[in-house]
Amino acid sequence: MESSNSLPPGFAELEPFVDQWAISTEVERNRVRRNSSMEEIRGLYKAVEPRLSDIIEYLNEFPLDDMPDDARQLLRLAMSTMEITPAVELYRQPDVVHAFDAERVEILVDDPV
Amino acid sequence: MDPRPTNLTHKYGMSTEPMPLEPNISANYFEQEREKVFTHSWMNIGRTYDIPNPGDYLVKTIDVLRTSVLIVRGRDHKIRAFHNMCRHRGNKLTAPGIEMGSAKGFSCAFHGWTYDPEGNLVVVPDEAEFFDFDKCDNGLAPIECDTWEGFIFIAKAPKESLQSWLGEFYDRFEGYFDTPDYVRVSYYRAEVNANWKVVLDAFVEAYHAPFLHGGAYPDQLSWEDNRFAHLLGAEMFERHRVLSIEGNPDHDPSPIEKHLLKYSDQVFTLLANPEKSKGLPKGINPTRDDKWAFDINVIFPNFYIASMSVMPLVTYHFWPVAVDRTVWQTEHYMFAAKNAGELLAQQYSKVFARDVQREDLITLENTQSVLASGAFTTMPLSDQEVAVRHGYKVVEEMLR
Amino acid sequence: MDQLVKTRYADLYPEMGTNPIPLSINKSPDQYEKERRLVFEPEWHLIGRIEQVAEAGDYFVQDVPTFGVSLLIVKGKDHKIRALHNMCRHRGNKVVSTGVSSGHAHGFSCSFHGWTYDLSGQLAVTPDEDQFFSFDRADHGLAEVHCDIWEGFIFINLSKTTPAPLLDSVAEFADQFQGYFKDLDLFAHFSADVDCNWKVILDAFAEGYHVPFIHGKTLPEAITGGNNPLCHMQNIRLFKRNRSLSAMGNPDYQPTPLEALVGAKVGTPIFPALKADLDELPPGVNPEKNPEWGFDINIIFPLSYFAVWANGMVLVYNFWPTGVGQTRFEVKLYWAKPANAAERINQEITRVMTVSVVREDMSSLETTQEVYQSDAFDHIHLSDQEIAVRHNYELISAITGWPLTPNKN
Repeated sequence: MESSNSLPPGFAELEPFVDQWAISTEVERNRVRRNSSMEEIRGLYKAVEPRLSDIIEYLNEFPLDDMPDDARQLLRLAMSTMEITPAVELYRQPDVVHAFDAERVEILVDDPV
Repeated sequence: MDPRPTNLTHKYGMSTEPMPLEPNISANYFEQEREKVFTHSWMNIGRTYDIPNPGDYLVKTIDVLRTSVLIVRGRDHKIRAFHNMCRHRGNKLTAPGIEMGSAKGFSCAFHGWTYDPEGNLVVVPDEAEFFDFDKCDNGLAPIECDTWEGFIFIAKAPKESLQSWLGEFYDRFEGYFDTPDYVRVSYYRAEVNANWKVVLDAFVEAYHAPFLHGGAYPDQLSWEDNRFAHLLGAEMFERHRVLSIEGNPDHDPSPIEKHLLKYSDQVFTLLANPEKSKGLPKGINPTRDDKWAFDINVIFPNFYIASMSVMPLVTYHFWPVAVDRTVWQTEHYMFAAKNAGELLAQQYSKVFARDVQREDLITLENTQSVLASGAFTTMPLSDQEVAVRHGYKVVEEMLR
Repeated sequence: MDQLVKTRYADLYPEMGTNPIPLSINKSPDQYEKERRLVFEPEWHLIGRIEQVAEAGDYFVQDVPTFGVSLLIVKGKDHKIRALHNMCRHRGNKVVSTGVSSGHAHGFSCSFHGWTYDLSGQLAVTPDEDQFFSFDRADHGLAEVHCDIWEGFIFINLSKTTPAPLLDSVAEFADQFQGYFKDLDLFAHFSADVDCNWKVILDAFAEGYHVPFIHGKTLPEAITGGNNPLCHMQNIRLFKRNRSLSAMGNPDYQPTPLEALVGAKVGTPIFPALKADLDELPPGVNPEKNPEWGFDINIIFPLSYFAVWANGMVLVYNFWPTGVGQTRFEVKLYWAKPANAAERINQEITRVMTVSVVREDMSSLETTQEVYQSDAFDHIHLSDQEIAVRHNYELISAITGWPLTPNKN
């Protein structure tokens, strides 16, 4: 993971989130969500949500299986945003409020991005 | 006029008495279920599209049948099922943990006996040392296997054909599910310390939605017009059953959903989508209602297919392990994502569904752990829980 | 002192005999089923203190794994303390989920379908009620179990019929502690599932013989040493079914630097804390009124135990049998709420020490059960100091008809 300018031009303001949230698998995204503070989670949501349409329009220009590295990092950030959206929009805490142990649910289809 | 059905329990000729808890806690009852229900049932173990090419195979441990099943597509493209057990000393032919793969044949790790993809024994090292031995008599032990709508079914000792077993379902979907276009985008599985019926019950009624899912679905499944998530439709067949669930057509998408809806029409929380409720086979949205969100098609005993307006295919399996243990699994199928926008909508839908399903699972172990306490021995079921009641009735009739 | 140490309990309680005890009683599944029916089910079990449910709406959860039961102990608006099955009358979900151990509520609402019960267990709200058939909310309250209180200790009883009064269970202890227990705050609570018969674990807490060995590092010389190196009990009393043991503390114990520092702030030694004013103690506490008193263990037949320490701490132990070779062991520690930081630290030192000691106690239990299962030998020998262990076997034998006569083979 590059430390600076790892995202495509025009998305520099998301750079601070790359280290924590540019994650390629659902298993790991879910684990990071559950182990992050609400402040960190809201930070990602607030930064990505207003730009999500821009992000999608930028990324839709590339085939999913042949994306430049900077676009792929941006996709990973967006994928993590999908993971944390219920925490922000619904549960208002990192994990589901009243739910079966996450570690006991096997995630068996998890294509890395 | 309110189109929602009433008096379902009476309509399908069932008693309205409270139901006994005994079937969920009695080890003896479980053994009877094993012998009289599961041994004779057709059970789904995967999709034909999971094994498209000759030599492709699936492995499934079926605890309730006390066996491991090997499902292979032969060089003749026919799908066959076998006990995953070498005909020599009984060793499993596949390595532990392997659930699918592709092979030219199956070679036992113990003494090298080798079977072809059609189950014939083709290699026996040092064959001359055996007595009156004919390879032709020593192929893998077959299990009945058939396919329908792109689903592979097996049965250990069926009393009827798959077509007859499926009954009312057989021609209901007109090939709707039999397509390679539905890609499996998620597969979640958990071993739950509860009886298989306790697990299944939680997924065949909507009464719990406003409470257990009140946070996840603030207005999609219960709202002013349908506070208690009453069923849109219900049909109780001889063994199988169908429920139709309605969604709030006026759900206000969340900020993230608004973005995603610009690039995909498969966003899971927008449950009612009138555009997608029309022109479907008779078995999909059977009520033909615009507020249709999804159907639950329970294929007795332990499989169910949900077809949703926002997702063409969701499957659930409830695999009994012991009287108080069940492997629960669910898979979501969507059209392959063509671009990042569709991929993100898929991911949002997967995460949302996974979180809600973890809510569905939370009551099960809490329930099982006190079911045998003797505090009470029956449960009152409402008319909206008609499919729960029907499930117990069908099992009970088969045990008689 | 010498006199006490030389007491022969076998002479005091000749009916106990001195025979070896057959091990089969701790490994027979049939015997276990008999014990479940004849010993555990009809009796009262001590599960907590009234201070845990001080206000109307306060509740705590007590699981009784022996019977697959989860109970809500709750104080109602009428200030009555009730024990209710933690099981929704609809589909059987727990109304308070696994993982929540106590709290304050206005009522209990099941997360599954929103059925809501008031603090006395009556069903108050059934969402979508008219979809049920011939339904009366009055018939669908949380099931109540027998619950009674003695000296601020809460007892439950899972008998399906009317049990004997609690005072019959407390028996000889009944008037021995009047007014002694008050303002006891639950400050630590832990439990462990141990692979051994319940009697094996109870045995470990009914004698001091093991102390210098198993606890030699944790409690160096606090309750052994001096003139009592083998931790002889100063007093063992066997009653009809209950029993009590008193242990001495070592007045010459040298505190660690930390204990000395905190002890100076609290104004009393931390271990063995010989600060009790003997004249103020009721007859049941330090029954010999020994100035070197350390603590008392009081066992209420069959599965409950409360200990009273010279420093004012009270411990409640539960031994919940879950199988012939499995027991859930539960420990609850109570003390006056700390008045200042020094007392809080003292409490913490004591908590850590207690956890360590109990873990040491448990360390031998599973290996003991394993050896019992092995048929390597079929009897155990008990010393005179282990007469309280013998007492329990005699009682269980009498109730269940399991013969204790030595089987020489």
